[in-house]
Amino acid sequence: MFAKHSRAGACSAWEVRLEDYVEGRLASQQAAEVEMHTRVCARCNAALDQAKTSVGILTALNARPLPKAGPLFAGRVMAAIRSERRDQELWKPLEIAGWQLCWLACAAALILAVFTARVQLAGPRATVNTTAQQSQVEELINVPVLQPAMQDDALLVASRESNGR
Amino acid sequence: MSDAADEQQLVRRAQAGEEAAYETLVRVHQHRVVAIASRLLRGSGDAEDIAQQVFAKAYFSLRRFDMRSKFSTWIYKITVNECWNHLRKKKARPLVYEADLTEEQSERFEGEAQRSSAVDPEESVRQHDLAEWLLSQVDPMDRTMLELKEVQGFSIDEIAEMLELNANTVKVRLFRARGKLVELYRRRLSQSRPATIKRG
Repeated sequence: MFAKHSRAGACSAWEVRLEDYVEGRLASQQAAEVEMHTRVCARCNAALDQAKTSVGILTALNARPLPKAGPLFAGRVMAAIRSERRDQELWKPLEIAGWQLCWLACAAALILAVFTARVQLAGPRATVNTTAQQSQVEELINVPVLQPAMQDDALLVASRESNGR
Repeated sequence: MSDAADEQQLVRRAQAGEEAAYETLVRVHQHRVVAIASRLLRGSGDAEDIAQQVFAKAYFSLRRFDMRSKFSTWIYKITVNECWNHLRKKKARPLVYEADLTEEQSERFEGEAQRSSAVDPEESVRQHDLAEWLLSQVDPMDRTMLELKEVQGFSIDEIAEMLELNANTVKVRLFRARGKLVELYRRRLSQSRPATIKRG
């Protein structure tokens, strides 16, 4: 059976323990197991050697003291915080008003949309009504025009009726 | 009362709006935050500004801090994130240190490098520059882990919490990062060696 190796070369199953070994965090029993493994596994042995070397290389970085915050640092931080909080307090009412306006505008837009939709839905019925009324008007307008002869007869009848004869 | 309990007390008071309590927290953690920022930003001079941003950001997010982790871990996590964001915004290229080491100087790292107590200040500077150069060549995540572990001295669990990773993942990545760093170092060493002609 072949052990799985990481790209660095060590057996994947041993990497965690190898790192712990480099850090000196293993109990003596586990450390002995690692040592036994590295004696028989050349790849883990080489990887462990590299890891130990890296500790040495990086120790050079500790030669210089780490930078520290200046004496006025905390004061500057607190001043910056106060200034930011003042800005927030100044803008907060405007922000709230802005949001309120935004909600109002949304509500107005919604009402307008509902109204428009209702008008559009009611539109075709209104057209039908208008058409019906129009046809009634047309019927009234299209009363047959009386011919002159017929007009004379009508006048005669009317005059007889008015004279009682 | 223990330091942790004191710190919790300070955090609670700061959460309740007591400015003086927060200022005390700043004073306690300011040097560490500046040191982390300075290392991760590779001494770009923005470390104090970033540290200031970190404390301001933490102040305004303090109510959301639920004390599940230590305040210090939380603030260091914000520091790492702020540094990464800063580098991303600046699209910073890693600084390249031209440390032209002699073969003997480079070899001093090998095997006996662990001691690294160079007496000669010039030598110390060169070793420092080489280590910086090597770190600048590795992946940013690997570099951050190596910095936090080897320079800042954080534990694996702290690094895992800061980077939101599993502790075993941190160990594996650290172990591989160490390998990559040494490979780079050896490659550099082989480049700096003059070609030797073997005479029969």
